[in-house]
Amino acid sequence: MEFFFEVLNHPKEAFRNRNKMAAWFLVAFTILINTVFGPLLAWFGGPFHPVPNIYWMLRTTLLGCLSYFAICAVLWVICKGFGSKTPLNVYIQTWGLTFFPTLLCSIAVAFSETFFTVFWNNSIWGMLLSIVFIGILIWKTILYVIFLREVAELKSGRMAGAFVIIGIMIIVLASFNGYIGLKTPVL
Amino acid sequence: MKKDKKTYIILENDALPTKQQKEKMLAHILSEYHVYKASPAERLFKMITVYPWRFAFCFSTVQAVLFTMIWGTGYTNLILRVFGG
Repeated sequence: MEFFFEVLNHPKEAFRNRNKMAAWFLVAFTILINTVFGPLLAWFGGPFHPVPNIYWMLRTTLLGCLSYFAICAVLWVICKGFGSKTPLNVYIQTWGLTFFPTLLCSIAVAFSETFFTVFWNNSIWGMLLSIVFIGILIWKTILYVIFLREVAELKSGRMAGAFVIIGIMIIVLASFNGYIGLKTPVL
Repeated sequence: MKKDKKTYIILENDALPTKQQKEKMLAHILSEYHVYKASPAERLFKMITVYPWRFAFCFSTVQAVLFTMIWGTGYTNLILRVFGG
């Protein structure tokens, strides 16, 4: 539990301590919220009650795991290109520590999608959701920068270059995630 | 026995730093010592990296309140369409 507070409040130290179990737990939980909790919530709480498809759930869960490895590989290749000496297994063990905001986003997406009619055209609910979504986006970006500094050990110009190129790759992978049915990108 | 003690004292004295060495050490310490003052950029970076969610949600609240006041549901619906699944 202490480690989760560290991930939440002191990400710099969490990246140094490198607790891979906590990292993978966050990733697994994000994927399951996306692929199992979302469809179940829509089934029980949504206006149309779509029956979940087990085959679809298994497929998207597997693709979610692949998406995590894909982003780790992209981070490794691009950071290596910018002079980082960090090996691939370190990326796999630590990138999951940036998944706190992604996890919250997957929960928010599940609710906003199921109860869409409540939030649509409602300025108060809409404003609250806007605070959540934009806050999560900024939080993830901060963690991304700290990650590049602490784990990939890139500085100033090299870090800025890696930030932009990985950022473009994240947009591409996020679109691909959306295409295969992962509404919150597992990135 | 007395001779041994004398030899020991000589060896011990030899092991101690000389006056010159002491001065060099002091000069080295003085040259290394300076009051560390973080620049405003460093202080801002530290403030953001410790409790990153605090900065993120503060900033997000300001933008959400401001833009909802300007564009109303047009803005909130846009956010919902982009991020809301």
